[in-house]
Amino acid sequence: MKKRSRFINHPSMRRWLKTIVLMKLTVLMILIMTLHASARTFSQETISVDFKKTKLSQALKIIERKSDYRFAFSNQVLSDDLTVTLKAKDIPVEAILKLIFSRTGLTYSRINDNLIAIKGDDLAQGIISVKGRVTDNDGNPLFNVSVSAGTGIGTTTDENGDYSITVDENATLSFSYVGFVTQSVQVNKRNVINVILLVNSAQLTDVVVVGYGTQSRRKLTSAVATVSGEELNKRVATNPAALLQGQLPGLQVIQGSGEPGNEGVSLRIRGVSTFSGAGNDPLIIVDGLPGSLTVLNPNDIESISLLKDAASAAIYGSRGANGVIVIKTKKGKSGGFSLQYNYNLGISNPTSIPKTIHNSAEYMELSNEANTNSGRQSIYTQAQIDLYKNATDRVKYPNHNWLDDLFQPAHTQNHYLNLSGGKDNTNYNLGIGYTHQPGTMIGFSYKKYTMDLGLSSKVHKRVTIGTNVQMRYGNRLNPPQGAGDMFLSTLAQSPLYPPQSADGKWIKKAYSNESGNKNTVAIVGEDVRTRTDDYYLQGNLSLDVEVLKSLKWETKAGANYGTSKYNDFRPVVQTYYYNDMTSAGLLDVGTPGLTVGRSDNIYTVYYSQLNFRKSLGDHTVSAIGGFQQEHNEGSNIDAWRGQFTTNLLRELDAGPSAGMTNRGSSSQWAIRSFYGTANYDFQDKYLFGTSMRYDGTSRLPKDTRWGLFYSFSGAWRISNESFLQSASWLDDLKIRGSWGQLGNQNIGTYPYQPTLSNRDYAFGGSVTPGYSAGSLVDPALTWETTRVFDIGIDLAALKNKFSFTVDWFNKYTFDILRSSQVPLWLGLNAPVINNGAVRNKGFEFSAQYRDKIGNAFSYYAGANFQTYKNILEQYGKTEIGGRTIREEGHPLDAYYMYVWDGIFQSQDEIDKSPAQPVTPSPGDLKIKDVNGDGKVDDKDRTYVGGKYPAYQYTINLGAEWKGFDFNAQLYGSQGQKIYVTGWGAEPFRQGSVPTTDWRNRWTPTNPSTTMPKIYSADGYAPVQNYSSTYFLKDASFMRLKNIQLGYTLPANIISKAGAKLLRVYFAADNVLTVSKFPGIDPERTSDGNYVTYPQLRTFTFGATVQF
Amino acid sequence: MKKYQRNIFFTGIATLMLFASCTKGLLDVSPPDRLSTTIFWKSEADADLALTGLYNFLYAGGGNWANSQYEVMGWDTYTDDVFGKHNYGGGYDATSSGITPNTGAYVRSYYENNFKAIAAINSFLANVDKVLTGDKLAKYKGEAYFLRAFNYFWLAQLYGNVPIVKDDPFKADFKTPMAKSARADVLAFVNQDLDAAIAALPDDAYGSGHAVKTTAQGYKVRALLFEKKYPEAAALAKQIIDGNQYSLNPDYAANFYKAGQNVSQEIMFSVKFQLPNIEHADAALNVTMQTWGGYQGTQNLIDEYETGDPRKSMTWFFPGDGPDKGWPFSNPAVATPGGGQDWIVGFYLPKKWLTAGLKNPDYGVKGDNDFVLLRYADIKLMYAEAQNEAVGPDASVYTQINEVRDRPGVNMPALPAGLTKEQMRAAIRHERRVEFPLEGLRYFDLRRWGIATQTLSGFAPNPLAPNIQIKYENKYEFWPIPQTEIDRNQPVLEQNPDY
Repeated sequence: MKKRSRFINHPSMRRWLKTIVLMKLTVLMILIMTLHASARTFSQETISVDFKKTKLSQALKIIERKSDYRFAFSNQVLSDDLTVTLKAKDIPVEAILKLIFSRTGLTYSRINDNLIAIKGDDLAQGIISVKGRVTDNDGNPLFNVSVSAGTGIGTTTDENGDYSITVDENATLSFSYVGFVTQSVQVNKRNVINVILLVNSAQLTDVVVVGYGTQSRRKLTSAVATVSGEELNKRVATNPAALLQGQLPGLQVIQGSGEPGNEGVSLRIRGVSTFSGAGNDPLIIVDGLPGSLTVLNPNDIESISLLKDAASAAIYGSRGANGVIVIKTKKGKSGGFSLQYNYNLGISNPTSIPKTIHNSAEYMELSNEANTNSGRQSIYTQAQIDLYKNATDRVKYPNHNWLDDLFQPAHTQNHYLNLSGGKDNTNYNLGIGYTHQPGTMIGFSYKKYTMDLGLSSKVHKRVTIGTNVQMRYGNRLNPPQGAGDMFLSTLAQSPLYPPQSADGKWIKKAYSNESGNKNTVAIVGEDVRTRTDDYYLQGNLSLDVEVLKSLKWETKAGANYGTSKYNDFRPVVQTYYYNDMTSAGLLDVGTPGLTVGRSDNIYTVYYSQLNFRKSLGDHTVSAIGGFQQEHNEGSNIDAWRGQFTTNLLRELDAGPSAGMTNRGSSSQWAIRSFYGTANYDFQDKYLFGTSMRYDGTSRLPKDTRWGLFYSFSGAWRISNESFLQSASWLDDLKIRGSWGQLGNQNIGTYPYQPTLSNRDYAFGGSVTPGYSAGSLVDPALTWETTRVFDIGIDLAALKNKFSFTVDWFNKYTFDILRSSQVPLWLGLNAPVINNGAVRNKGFEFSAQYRDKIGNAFSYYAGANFQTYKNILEQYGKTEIGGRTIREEGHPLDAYYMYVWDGIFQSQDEIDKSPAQPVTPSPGDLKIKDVNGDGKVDDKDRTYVGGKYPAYQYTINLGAEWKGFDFNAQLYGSQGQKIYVTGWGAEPFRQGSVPTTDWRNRWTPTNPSTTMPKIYSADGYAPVQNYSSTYFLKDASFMRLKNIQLGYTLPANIISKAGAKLLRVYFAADNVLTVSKFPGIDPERTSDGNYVTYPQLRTFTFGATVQF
Repeated sequence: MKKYQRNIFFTGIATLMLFASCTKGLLDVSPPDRLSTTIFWKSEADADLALTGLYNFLYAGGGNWANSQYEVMGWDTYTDDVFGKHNYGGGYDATSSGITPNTGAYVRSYYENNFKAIAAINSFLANVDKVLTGDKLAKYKGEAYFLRAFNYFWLAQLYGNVPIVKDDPFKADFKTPMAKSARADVLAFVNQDLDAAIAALPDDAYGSGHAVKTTAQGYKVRALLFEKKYPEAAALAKQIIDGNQYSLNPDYAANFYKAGQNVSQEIMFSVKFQLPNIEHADAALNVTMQTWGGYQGTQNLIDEYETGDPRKSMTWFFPGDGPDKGWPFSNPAVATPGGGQDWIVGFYLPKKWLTAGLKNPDYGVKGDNDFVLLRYADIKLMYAEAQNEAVGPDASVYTQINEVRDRPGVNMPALPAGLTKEQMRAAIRHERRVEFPLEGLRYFDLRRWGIATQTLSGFAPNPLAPNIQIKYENKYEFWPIPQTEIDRNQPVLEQNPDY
């Protein structure tokens, strides 16, 4: 890791110094000869420079870039008027420095091996000695921090973070360290100055975790986005995948629901690239090995890298096609023991729930109107309506809002304890987390215990062994039919009755002829809930050997073991009609009985690799070569017994053995791989990289199972070119490009193996076993391949205050693994074949600016933006689904449906309009005759945009001032449409309560052009018989995803209590949302039923204390 | 430097050892719970396994809500007999929205189901002589021929013109599109297979679930009648009747629940179920039909019954029925079938297919009643119909129809003598309607008689809701071939007319 100098700006007096004009090369050579002896004691590093009236400060900066030297000085010393002209080739740095400084009147001294402090020629009066300790936010001592005074004097901290320096009593000390915000402190005659440096997250990523190793950001030739654990944990969430939202340009994160422990987070890197079962999920790497992201406690994450192009992901070969997310968990840092404890309490409520009509009389009248409109019988008599309308007894005749029963504020608690430190070459980090997350929807709950252990020990000066282990125990409770069903079933309750009578009986309906669905409050009240216990352990052991200085041997072995056990009991529960409290049969719990099951998965992996790195003059070469082997075996078993005689016992043996069933199976797969990368750079200016992987998989037939995946990349650091060296505003500018191909083999475990299907038949009162072969297989099956071309620009400017990255990509997936389009007359299941291609093109950028105003106020602002376009390039015969189409030349699964064109206002209008597919009446939807042939039929379905968002963006803002810190994230997605129907979106589906929008429905006296006449969604052909844009809703949104305000107490106060750090904070999630999506949260993963488990608005209060 | 060299040496050795430790067969895994096709057709027992596999296609699902086309009651919801409130089998959808090549569920599934069964049968026929010889081979092939005819007859009835596939599907050139054959050719093929089955199958009464000679004969009567080959149909029906293998069940209702089915002498073919392993796909019929009101009889059908016909109350429940009439519910609110629960006012709840003695069917009740596909009563009425069309209402016509009317427990009076051919035709059509409700025959009868459009189009199932009307068009005589099949066989496979 190369450190950089910090330039200290003091806009005070300037010093006039003479121009240095320096000599020609021949003279130089002589000098070098004479200096040779002394130079030997210093670094032998040689560089080439070409200065022509270059400002001295700029010249030093260039030398820093080209060498390991760093300089500490102040601008007071180095006036802008001081320039240097010098041409040198392969000259030791020391010699160059001597030449430069020999006539400036400046002196310099070596502070340590590489750090050189430049001093002026006059020393001020009143000099004192200052000492102190520099630590990070967590109290860890920082080693090698550059401490410099305005007079050009500098030093660095030692391993304990301590420094001492002799300076003017009125000087200003500046503390700078890579990855941290530079801090200036006025000495004010003090002799002890302790400093806490704050992390500068833009620069923490100077070293980037990539596949099978790390790379310095400036040497990257591929498209990699990163986020630090610190940045990630500015939001509070229990599932780390959810925290990735908006953090990494190129990654689309949609949290499907707010259901505890089942958030359904969808991760898509650069669009949807396949329609195959191989899927679009990226590969997750934890500490170097494939693993699980959700198993982690967010607090245990050190950093996350997103490998999004071929160059970065090709090393993962057959599994890199959808991109790779590389996670590094925390390891201990040397230097004493540190204990940290975090606690937070989150109070969550749904972001929005539909507003429904729950006035009983109004509901009944609307129900009758809807049924009449739909050609159905009315349910309620006028007498019944009057009972509710004129009631005084609101217990007997309530206006019950069932949604109030379904939702409750949820209090989520997170405890996290971290112990870390290092001693005698052994570093450790232990994180223990506990989360209790009840649902905002009744019946749901999740408890999670996590443990993360990171340990490394340098057992020999060349040998380091280490381990990283993550464990999770999760305990989840959920109604077995799931959140969507709970929500829609609740909507399907009429307001005419409460869930439970005063004497504790569960109510089914008010009247027996009402429609409806299950009583969800009874479901929870009777504890009809699936209990899932899952145990997950992922861990690895590593052995690193430094064979030579330039050659390291790294071996890692890991295993993931997961067990999930569930107990799903369905009791027998009586229900009643509310009007007369007569019996209404059983509560709908599905089939009463008990299912108990478990699934186990064990995955083992190991790799062994050699890392080589060597610099020779202008040439730097690094390479990795390795071997990896993975094996996975999963099994499951479950058993069922029917209706129990009691609801109190919930184990199998308590149930009847008659009719009991069981089943179980197992499957396995394996991959064996050889991989390698090589990087070369010339003068740190021209960079080249290549990587390859040769994978063999058990999922493919012998002859085709081995595949080669590779990538090539290159970058040009233009800022290192001489013509840009005088551009002092520019710190780094790099153009890079990459190309490569990756694989995806994730389709079934045995897709090429012809097997018999079990087909039994009940002859003569007993079951007789039978078999038949029903599937074709393709014996030449091979990989699905993705080819990615990427061009990017990285820029850092204005003393690294501004950074900018932009990438353009063209990602082409072909040989897609999919079912062949065999004719139906063949009568066999289609074979899985390689056919079809999808292209995604897009670009993404991120920009960040951070700065200070005065000494106390610092701030940053960042933005991410991403967009892509998806095209199905090769498919075969066009296939039209219910509302989507797969046709070559169009987006994959683009919306394809009838176009809604208003509301029929009169019979006359109907008569004059093109013939509709279903005979309409006034107030019904009008469907557009797209092809203008005078009638609306199948041919009038057409493409409708909005399957994929046009673009997504994030804006991050933050500021710090005197212990206060503030962060905010704005997240938005534009242009996506979602097709939603049923309960909530449509009135009276299973009797569901209409939303208040229906008060504005079309009636002969209210000629609405946006809402049709009210209907019963249990089957109303003029609206429901065809998919139309009426149901397609704009799901664009912009939301204030998160704000956080924290306060770190002054160190002198908390140190009395022995603490190093105490920070309290308040955070709010999903604070504000701007969207046209009707009634509920627009952030969702899929079309279909309107209601899903709602997203949460959470207010979190928390504290972090560190000792 | 020496030390480093030693390090490199050991590193290399260790790495090599790790490589070598890779198990050789790591990448060769196969499914541990499924047999490979490569070991099949090696022994005689494989023929049994494969034959059983062919019958398993009778469980095929894929209508609406997991229904099978052989769950026969669903077909009545396509007619004026039954209102299908929940769209089981797709009847509600078909009669409200109409049938198009893109209709999901039933239009596509039934086509697919039949062709999947046919593929398995063709594969069976291509392989069975590898492991069997002699009589056993002939019998097994006979069953396969019957099943192939059975499946093609369904295709012929529904879609009419379909591709004819006879050969081993695993050797088929599926990349070459296939054209359809005319319905007449499909039916000729059906007859050919049935003849082969009749020749090979044992002349026993049906019982275990395996098709027997009379089963094949019965289906041939259906096929001949469908083709309006009346003399041949009458002759073959007569042959079955004269064979005396069957008799009308003295307990009409017992044909429709398991205990009765096990001893019925009337059932000639059925889809067999057996608890606990093989039960109906959705909830048991007892729950879908009674508790959930999945199929509800129309007033029009109820009006069809003659006064005093006991089959009316053996098939339907009426307001006021209590436990004495077999009403299964004891809860006071539903103590009588008057439009409570999920039942719609103006319709009638089915009693047929209800397991005798069952109380309060609700979630959790499982069912294994067999779906009866062919009854002896049908043979008798088909004889009467064929003979009447071929010869006129002779004595044998009266005999057969009157035996059905006068069956024990039904005891309806004989038809008046001297009916004209047309009057007899009407009487037979009436008799079929009241004998077979909820048995899936009426939809095909109406189409066969050529009166489907006039009977069904615009029919309002519930007089209380006259706006709800059935949609039926002439073109439905030939269902559309699923659009996917047209697409994948372009340009040679043409859609049926008018779609």
